[in-house]
Amino acid sequence: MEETIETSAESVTSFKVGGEYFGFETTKIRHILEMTQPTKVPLSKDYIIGVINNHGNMIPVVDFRAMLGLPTDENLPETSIVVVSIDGTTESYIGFKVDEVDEVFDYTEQQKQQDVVIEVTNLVQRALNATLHVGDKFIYMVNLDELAKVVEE
Amino acid sequence: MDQFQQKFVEEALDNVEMLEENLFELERNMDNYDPELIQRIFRSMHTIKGSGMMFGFEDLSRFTHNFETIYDLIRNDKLAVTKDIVDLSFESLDYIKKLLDIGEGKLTNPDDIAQLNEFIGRITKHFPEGTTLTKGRAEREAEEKAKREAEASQNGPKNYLVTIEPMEALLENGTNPLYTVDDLTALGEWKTVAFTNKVEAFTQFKPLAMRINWQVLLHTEQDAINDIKDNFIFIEDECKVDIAELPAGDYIVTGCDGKIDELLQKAAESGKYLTASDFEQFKQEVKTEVTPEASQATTTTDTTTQTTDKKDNNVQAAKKDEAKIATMRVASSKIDELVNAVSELVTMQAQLNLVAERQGLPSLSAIAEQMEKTTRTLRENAFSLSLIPLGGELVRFQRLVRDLSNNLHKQLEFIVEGGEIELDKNIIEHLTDPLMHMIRNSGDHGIELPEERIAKGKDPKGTIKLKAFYSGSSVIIQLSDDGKGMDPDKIFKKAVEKGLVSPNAKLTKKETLNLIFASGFSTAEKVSDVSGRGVGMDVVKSKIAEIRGEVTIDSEVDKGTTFTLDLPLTLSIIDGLLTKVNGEQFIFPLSNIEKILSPKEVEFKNNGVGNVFVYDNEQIAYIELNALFYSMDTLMDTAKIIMVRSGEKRVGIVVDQIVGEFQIVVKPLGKFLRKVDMISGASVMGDGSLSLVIDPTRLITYHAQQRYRKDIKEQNKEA
Repeated sequence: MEETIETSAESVTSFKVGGEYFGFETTKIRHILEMTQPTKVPLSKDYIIGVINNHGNMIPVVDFRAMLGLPTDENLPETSIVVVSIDGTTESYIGFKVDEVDEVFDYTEQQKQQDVVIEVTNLVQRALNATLHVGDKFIYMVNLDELAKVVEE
Repeated sequence: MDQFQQKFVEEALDNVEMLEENLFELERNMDNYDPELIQRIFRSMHTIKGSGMMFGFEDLSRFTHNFETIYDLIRNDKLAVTKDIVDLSFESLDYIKKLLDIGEGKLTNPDDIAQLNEFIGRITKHFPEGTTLTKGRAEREAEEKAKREAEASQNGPKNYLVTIEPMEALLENGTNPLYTVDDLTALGEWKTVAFTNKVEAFTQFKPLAMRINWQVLLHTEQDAINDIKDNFIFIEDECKVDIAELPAGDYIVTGCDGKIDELLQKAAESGKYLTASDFEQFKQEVKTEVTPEASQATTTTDTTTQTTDKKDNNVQAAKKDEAKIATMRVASSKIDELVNAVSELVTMQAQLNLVAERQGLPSLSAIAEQMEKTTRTLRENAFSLSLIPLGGELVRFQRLVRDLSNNLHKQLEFIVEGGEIELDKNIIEHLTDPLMHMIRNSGDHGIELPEERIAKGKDPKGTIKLKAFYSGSSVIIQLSDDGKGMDPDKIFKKAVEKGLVSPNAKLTKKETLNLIFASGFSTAEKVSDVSGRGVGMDVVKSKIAEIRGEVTIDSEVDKGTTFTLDLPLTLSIIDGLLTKVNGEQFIFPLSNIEKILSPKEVEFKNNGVGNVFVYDNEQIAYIELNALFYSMDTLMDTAKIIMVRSGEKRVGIVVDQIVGEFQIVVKPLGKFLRKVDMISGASVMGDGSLSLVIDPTRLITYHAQQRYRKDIKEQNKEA
């Protein structure tokens, strides 16, 4: 993961959850969908809020807020589901419910800093690996492979 | 590997498979084989060799060339078929598969090349003294030809009767059968007769359908059987050719005073082929004196044609050949795509029906209805495409059994019934490994050594039988052996040893036998290299469960063991019962449901172990989905109990409401919800909502585990 970040300018899609900015690698994103009510799957993890149907594929949806340990918020018009594919197969599609999708941009090496999180207090922090400075924003880069492991285990 | 090489590999693998089947046949009839069989084996190898060379698989080609030589020697009676040769052939076959596997077709690693040469050395060892090996094909063929000529000069002139029966579709390929007849007549003196009795009357005449058959009477100066055969190389698949050698004599040159023409004319009129015996008789009748000098005379060219519109039984044979060409090869990914699209369509169709119903527009309803018919046809067709016969996999099993008998020094026979049964290709893909494992187990642990079997008064040859048949909406596969069976006491002791079961447990025989499916259980007293490597029957069971199948076992000591697999016909579409629990929709596969009861019909009680209800004088455990899924109570007054069967057990599942029966497309939930295995997927309903599909077997297992954990917790508390 480190290596892929260091190669050259890469595209990042940033989004906002609980007032903070987070970023996914744009190449892993498959869809950005309007929030629809997922169907709850019993006996699954609390932060998996259910599955949605996208062109006949069943996609589990994770509440990013819940993974951060924040209380769930009511859905607003900006609330979206970011669908990513971890390894390219439809089997590995997973959606993240976020407060708002922010922007897509390229970043360069200079903007990257090693992650500053010291203490792991929530599930997402286990998957953070760098911070980006873009203008006056701090964006936490999420390593999707790591995050997927958290959800899968 | 480019696409042509890939195509070659695909086709070569087909040939390898055919070769394997033929080798089995050869092995069975080693002392009394059909020469045609050797011919078939030779031909498969020859094709692999030839096209391998064309596509740059040089090592493969070189190897197969030597392998082929063995069968060339056999077909020329220079080498006898022995067990050694058959064994070597099977080994060579595996090696060919390996060579097909290497990307560019050329070995680069020196070790591999050494191995190839060593293997070729082992093959050439079997060649009799004096056989020259490194000769190219042309050289060899020239030699053969010279030999043939030498032999022929001793044998003198020959007469052949060649019957050519082209397929109906021959003309569509642009082949002109008359050229073939022409080429044939160039070999010597000749007469032909055309059978036109199958040509239809003018009003029904189909110009593109080949309906004429020929018989060519050929007189050659020497043995020409191979030359005649060569003539048909390019249209081998498109026509039936029969070559008969006739009793010595000159039928053509002197013409027997024109009597031969009479004979041919008669044949054409009657539409009946001439046979060698006809000529025998003919010879008797005319008592022709034949002198070799006379054969130098001129030829008569008299093609008899006579039209009769009598249909003939040969049409059937021709039709059979057509069916062969009417199949085609399609990449399985394309079929998957098609099936996915059709599944989508089925879902959308349900939505369309719903909209049409709500709108109440007669014209819309009519279209929806029409479309539903088409969708159903399409669905049935698409799904039948992904069905393939079980038989395709059986050669591998046969091979396994063969190798097992050699490695274990046991006599094993593999019998198959119902190889024509068709299953979804995804199911077959998942089935092969578990079946291989089970066959291996039967051969290794089930069947005894021949001495032991004789001591027990059994046939020294053990039998492993695979039987497949349809049963309702499922396919049953039974794998049985007549070996030593399983001893329940032994299994129980072992399970106790492994800590899988409490020594005080009282189990029925079935329950005891089922212990072998527990993980970490392996009955092999000694770990052999064939089976007993730790992965055992638990893997088999979970693999079968992945395709929504079930395994049951039955065994009698000294009589044998039978495994029964109950498999669904197809994975993606099921008939389901839609229910509601706490407002959410859940679907149960109809095939698991035995009955639906109202709580009023039964009596609930606690039997000391857990909650049960009594129905039909039977105590049946039940699961309240409200409690299990949502930790809520069920309103028993309006609830329904779905009685499902899982293996031997009947369990009641309590739901709030039953909506009805639906045909649904099951979609997997992906890897992030794999842990929730009692839900096998989700389905999109007509109104666009999702419902979750329950896997009753896993639900019951989960529930039992939960209860077990709770019990342990309570025990710990007490202690």
